[in-house]
Amino acid sequence: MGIKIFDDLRREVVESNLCNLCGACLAVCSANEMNALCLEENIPQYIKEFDDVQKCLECGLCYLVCGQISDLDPKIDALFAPAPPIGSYRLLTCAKTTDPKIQKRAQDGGVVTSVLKYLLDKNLIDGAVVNIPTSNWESSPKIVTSVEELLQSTGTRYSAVPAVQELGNFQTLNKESPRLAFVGCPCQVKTVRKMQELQMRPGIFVKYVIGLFCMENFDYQKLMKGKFEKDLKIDLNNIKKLNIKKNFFITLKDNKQIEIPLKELSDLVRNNCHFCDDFTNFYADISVGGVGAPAGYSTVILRTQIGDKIFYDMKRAKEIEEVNSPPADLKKIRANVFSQISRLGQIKYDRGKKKKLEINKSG
Amino acid sequence: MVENAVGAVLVIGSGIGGIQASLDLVEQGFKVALVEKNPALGGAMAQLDKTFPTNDCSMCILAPKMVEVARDPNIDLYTFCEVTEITGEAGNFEVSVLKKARYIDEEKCVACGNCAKQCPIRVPHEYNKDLSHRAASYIPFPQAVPSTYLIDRENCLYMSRGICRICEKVCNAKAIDFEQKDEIIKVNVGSIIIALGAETFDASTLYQYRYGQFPNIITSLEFERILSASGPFGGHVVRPSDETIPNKILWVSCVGSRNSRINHNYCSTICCTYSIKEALIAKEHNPELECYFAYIDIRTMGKGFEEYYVSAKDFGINFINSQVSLEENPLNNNIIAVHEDFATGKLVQEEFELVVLSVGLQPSKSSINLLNKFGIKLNQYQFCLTENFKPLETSRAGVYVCGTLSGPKDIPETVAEASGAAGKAASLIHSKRYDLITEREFPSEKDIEGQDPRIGVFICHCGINIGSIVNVPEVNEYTKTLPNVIYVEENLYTCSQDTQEKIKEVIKAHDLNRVVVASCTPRTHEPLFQNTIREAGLNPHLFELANIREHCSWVHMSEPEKATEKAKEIVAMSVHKVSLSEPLHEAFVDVVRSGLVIGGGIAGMTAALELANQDYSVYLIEKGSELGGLVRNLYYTVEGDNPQKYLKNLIEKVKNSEKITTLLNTKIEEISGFVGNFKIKVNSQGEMNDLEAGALIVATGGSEYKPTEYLYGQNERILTQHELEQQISKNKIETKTVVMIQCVGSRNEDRRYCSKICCTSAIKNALKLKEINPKITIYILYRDIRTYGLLEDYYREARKKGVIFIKYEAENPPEVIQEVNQLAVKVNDIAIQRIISLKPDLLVLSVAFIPTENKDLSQMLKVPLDQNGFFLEAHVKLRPLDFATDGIFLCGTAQWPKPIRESIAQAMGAATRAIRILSAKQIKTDAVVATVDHDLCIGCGACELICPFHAPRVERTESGRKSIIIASACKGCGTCGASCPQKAISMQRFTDVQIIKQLDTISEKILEWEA
Repeated sequence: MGIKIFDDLRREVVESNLCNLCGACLAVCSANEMNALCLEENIPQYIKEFDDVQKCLECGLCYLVCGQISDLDPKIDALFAPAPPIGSYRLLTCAKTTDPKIQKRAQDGGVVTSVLKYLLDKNLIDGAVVNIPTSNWESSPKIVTSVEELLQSTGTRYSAVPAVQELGNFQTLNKESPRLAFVGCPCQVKTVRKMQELQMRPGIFVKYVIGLFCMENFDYQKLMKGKFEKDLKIDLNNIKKLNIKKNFFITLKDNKQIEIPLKELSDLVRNNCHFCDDFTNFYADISVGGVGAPAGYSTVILRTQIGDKIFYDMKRAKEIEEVNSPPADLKKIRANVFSQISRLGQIKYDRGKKKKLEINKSG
Repeated sequence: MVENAVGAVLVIGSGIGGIQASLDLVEQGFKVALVEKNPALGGAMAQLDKTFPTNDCSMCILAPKMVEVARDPNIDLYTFCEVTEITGEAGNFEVSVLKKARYIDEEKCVACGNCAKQCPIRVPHEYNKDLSHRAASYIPFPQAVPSTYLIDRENCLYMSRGICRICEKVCNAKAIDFEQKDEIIKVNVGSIIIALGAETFDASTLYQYRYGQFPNIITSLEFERILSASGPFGGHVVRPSDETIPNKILWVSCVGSRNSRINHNYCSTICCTYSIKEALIAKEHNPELECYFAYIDIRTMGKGFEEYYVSAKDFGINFINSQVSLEENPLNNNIIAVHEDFATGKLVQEEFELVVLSVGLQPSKSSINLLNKFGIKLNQYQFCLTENFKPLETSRAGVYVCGTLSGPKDIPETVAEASGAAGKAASLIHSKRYDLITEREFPSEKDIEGQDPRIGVFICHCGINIGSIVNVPEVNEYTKTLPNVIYVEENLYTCSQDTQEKIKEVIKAHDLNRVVVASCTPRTHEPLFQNTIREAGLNPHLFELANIREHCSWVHMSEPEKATEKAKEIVAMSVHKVSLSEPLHEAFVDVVRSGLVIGGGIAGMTAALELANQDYSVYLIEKGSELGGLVRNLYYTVEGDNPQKYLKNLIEKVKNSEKITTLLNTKIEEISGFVGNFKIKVNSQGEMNDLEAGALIVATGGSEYKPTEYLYGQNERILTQHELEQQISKNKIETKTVVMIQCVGSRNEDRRYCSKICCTSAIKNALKLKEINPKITIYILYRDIRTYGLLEDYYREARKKGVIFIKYEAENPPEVIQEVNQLAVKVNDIAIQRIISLKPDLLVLSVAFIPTENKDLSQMLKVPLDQNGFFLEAHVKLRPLDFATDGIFLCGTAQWPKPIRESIAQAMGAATRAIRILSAKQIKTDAVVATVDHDLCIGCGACELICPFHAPRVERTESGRKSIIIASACKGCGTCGASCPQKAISMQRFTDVQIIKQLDTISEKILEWEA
C-alpha cells in the first residue's frame, strides 16, 4: 500500500464536502516552509500557482491526522474510551469563575477563560490557542500569551475557524518545547489527540485540552452574512450575544431577544457536522458547555487526570466554584445536567452514525 | 605472553574512562577498537554542567578529548554498537560487535540538521533527562562525536507506520538510508578494557523520595541539565512544574546510597561534592537563591574538596544534618520538607520551591548482564569485582576494568585507572607494539619557494546554517576582488567527502599554493582540510580557516546584513594572513628509553615494575635505606588483606628485575633536560652519578602527622593510629576502653584539608580490636565519617559490633585531661547536646596525613606544589597523573592522601603515561612553535619565567646568554612572544607581520568604531 497523501485527502474529504475546517492538515504539513498548502475560501488546497504536487513532500501526515480519516481512531479510543452518549469521565458538575471581570463577559460560567487565565497566571503554559473576534461576529484563532489578550476571546461565536492551523504557529513563541493549551470543538480536539498519539508536533506541545460542547457549527458567510444580515435584516454590529439553548437566541444590545428555531438554520450548518457523533468533546481533558447548567454556570466534565488536577487546584485556589447548594441539591443538579447532555449527546450520536451509514452505503 | 598475541585492544564504553584508555593505548603503539552502545561518545561526563572543585565546564574539557579520539586513525570507533560475544583468551580474543543501524550514512552525513528540523516527531530527549524534546532524526547533543545524525527506529513514522520519509526528501547530502540493517562485525584484539561506568540511581523505586509524583522533585542529573547552557531551558535555572525561577532549593543526600535495605550499602562518593557544586553554581545564576543541603555525613575527602565545602558555607549554603520527608503543597507545587533540627532535636517543617535528589551510582542492568555473559565476577553490589592490590584486573585473564564499573568514584580516579588499565592491557601484548598501527603516507611536498601567493578560497553554505543568514554569493563576489585570490568556490558542505576531492583537483588545476576555507570552527575542522591540502602536496600550514558560522551566521542570526559584512572581513583577514604563511615542519627528537622513579614506596615500586614489565629499564631512587615506604607501618587492611606479605613480594620482584636499578640512600641533586631526554644527577651517600631518562615519575609519598594536640607525647597511653596498629600486630594491646579522636590536625586552621584515610584507619583498628576482644568498649569521636565507596560496609559493621560513634563540632573539640593514673576525655555529643565524660585506658589519635618535604624536588623538576605541600597535577580532573611540564608524572600519596588500592592504580597509570614517551619512535614536536631571533635576544629570561611549560631556557651560547626554545616542550601558546621586550620571539603561523596584516585589513573599521 502506498502512502496516502494530500491528493487522497482532497478526494476523500475536501471534495466530498466533509472538511471540518480545523486546519490540522496545514499545521502538520512538512512542506510548510515551502508553502505547499493553503487555506483559500476556507478550503485546504495546494497553493494555486503551483497547483500540482511538486511542493508536496508526499509524507502523508495530513491524511493521517485529519479528523475525518479514521485510521488512528482505534488508538486514541483505547486511551479515552469515548462511550456514547457523553464519553468517559471522572466528574460531571457545574461551576463558574470567581473573577467578576470574566463573569461579566462570559457566555455562561466563564470556566474556559478562567482555566486559561489560571494556566497563564501560574506560568503553566506559554500560550493558548483561542478564538479572537475580529469584526462583525467573525473571528480567527490565535495563540495568546497574556491574560489581556485572552480576555478578548470570551463569548461564543458560532462559525467554524481553523484553530488547529494556528497551533502550527507555535514557533512564534520562540521556544523549542512550548507548553500550550488548546480550546476547540470535538473535531478539532480529535486531531490534536491524533498528533499526540503519533508524538508529532505541534500536537505534542499541547499540555491542556479544553473541549467545547458542540451540536453543530455554521458557515460564517451563510449564517451571519446570509441569514442574519441579509434575510433577517439584523445589523451585526447591534448584536450583544449569540447563544444556542434548544433554539438559536440572538440578544441585541438593547437586550431584545430574537429566537430562531434551529430547524430553520439546518441548511446553514456545515456538512461535516452532520457526520459528527461527539457532542460533549470525548477527547478533552476538561469539557465545558452551557447545556444543563443553572444560569451563570457552565457544565464541566472532567475526563483525565490532567483535567482533574487543574479543576481541583483551581477550586482550592478559589479561582472557580461549584454550584453553591447543599449536597443533596448538588446531586440533583448534576443528575439533571447528566440527563440533558445525555439526551443531546445521544441525538448527535445517532445522527452521526446514521449519516455515516448512509455515506458508506452510497460508497 | 601468548604466541599469537594481537597488538590491538578492545575498549568497551566511551565515557571519560574509555576515552582516556583509548588515547593512552594508541600513544603506546596499539590499535584500539572503541565500542560504545550510545550513538555518541562521552558517557555521563557529557551531561554534566560543571566539574568540582574547579567549576570547569565539563563539556569544554571533555570535547577536545572526544575530538582527539575521532581524529586518531588508529582508533576504530564503533558507536551505537554492542559487544555480543568474546571468545579466545588473553592475548588473542575474537570479539563480535553488533552494529545497530543508524539509518543515516555516517560517511555522507554532514550534520547540517535539516532532517531533525523537518522531522515531525518530538519525543523526550534523553540527553536532557527528558526535560526537552528531540526529533526522531537527531544528534545526541551538539558536540557529539561522531558528528552524525541517526534515526531512532522506535519513534520514526516511516519505521512504525510506513509514512513520512520527509528526512529522506530534505537531506541534501543524500545520507538517509532506510535500507540499513544491523550487522555483526568481528574484531580481533589482544586484551580488553571494560569501562562501562555506572548509572544514576532510579529514585522512583524508593517511594519516600516522591520522585515522579511531584514535578518539583528532580534528580541531581536533571538539575545538572537545567544548569547547563545547552540544557532544556538554555541555562536558566527554572523548576519543571511552571518554569519559574526557584528561590529556595533543598538538596537531599544519599538517595540510593548508604541504604542497606535495597542492598546499596555503599557510599556513592561523589554526591556530597557535586551537590555542593550544584548549589554554588545555582547561586551564581541567582544570587538571591537560598540553598539547603540535607546530609548524613559530608564526605568531601578529595583534593581541594574540603576547602570547597568550607567556601560553600562561607557563600551561604546551609547544611542540615538530617534526613527529610517530602510532601507537596498543592496550591503552589512547592515541596514541604520535614527535617530534624540538630540543635534542638525538634522536627521542623519548611517549604522549598524545588528539591534536588542527590542520586547515587549503581551498575546498570546492561553492564551486569554483559559482565555475567563474559564470565566476569561481580561483587556484592554487582560492581565488577577487583582485588585491593590488583585494582584494575577482572576475574578473567586479559580483561581489565576502570572507572565506576568497579565501584563509585570521581573523574580523576577514573582517569588514573583508565591510564593504568591501558598499561595493563598493553603489558600483556607489548611485544606487538606498533604491529597494527598505520601511519598516513603523503605525496612529497611541493616547493613554493619564491612563488607569489596563489590562493584558493572555498566558502561553505553549511546546508542552511551559514547560507540562510550570510549572503554567500555576495561574500564570493567580494572575495574575488581580494589580492592573490586565484580561485573562489561556494560549496553546500565544504567538509563533505566529495568536496575534499574537489579541493585537491582545484589545487592542481589552478596551481594553488595556499588555501582558505570559510566555514566553521578550526577546533573540529581544520585538521580535515589540512589533511586534504597535504594530500594535494601542499604543506598543511599554508592554510587558514575563516569561521563564518559561529562568528557570523550563528551569533548574528537576526542581522543578516551585518553577518555578511563580518563574513567578508573575516575572509579578507584570512586571505591576507595566509598570503604571508610559510611551510612549517615538525621536528623529531630521539628518546632515552628508560624511566626514573623518585620514591621507593608502594607507588614508586609499582610504577617501576610496570615499566620493567614492558622491557624499559628504570632507575628507582629511594632516599631511605630500604624500600617499602609508608606501607611498612601497615599490617592489615580493613578488607582483611595482608600488606606486609604484598610488600615483601613486591620488593622481591623489584630486586629480582633485571630492568630495575634501585638506588637506596640516594638523593637527587640536579635535574636538567626535557621530555625524552632528562639528565639527573644523583648522590648516593657521597657517590655522584649522572643518569639519563626519557620520563620521570614522582612518587615521594607522605607520612603521618606528629600531633601536638591532645597531650600526645606526654602519656604513653596516647597513640596515633599507626602506632596502635603496630602494637596490635605485636599483640601488645590489653585494654578495656578505647577512645579515638578523628580529624587530629586535619580540617583545621593549620591544615584545611581532609586526610581522606583516617576514618577508615580508625574503623579498621576498631574492628581489629573488637575481633581480638569483643567486649572492648570503643568510642570514636568524629566530625563526619568518611568511609566512601565500598568502605561504608565497614562503618556499618563497626556500628553493628557496638563501636560507639559520637559526633562533635569543630568549634567544640573534645578535651583530654590527664588525671592521676587516668586519662579523661570530655566531648560535647551534639546528637544529644550533652557533655560526655569518658575514661579510656587508651586514647588513639587519627592524625592528619602530610606530604613529604617536596620543596627542593619541585624546584629541581620545575613543577608546582599545592597550598598543602602536595604536588600539583596538570589538571585536577582530567590530568591527575601529569604535570604541565611534559615527561614528568605523579602518583601515590605525593599527590594526595589515599589508600593502597588507589596508589597502586595511580602508579600503574603514571607508568602508562611515561611509557607513551618511552615507546615513541621519536618525539614529534608541534610545527607551530616559538622561535627566537638570537640577534635580538638579550637573554633577559622573561620568557623562561612566564612559560607554563618550561619550553624556553636561557643558556650560554657563543654569542652570550640567549633564549633557546625546547620545541618538544613548546605548546605554541605564544605567551613568551607576547612577553618578550625585544620582540625577539616569534610565534610561527601567528607572526607579528601576519597579525598586523590582519589588523590592517579591518583597521578602517576599527577607526570607525573608535570614532
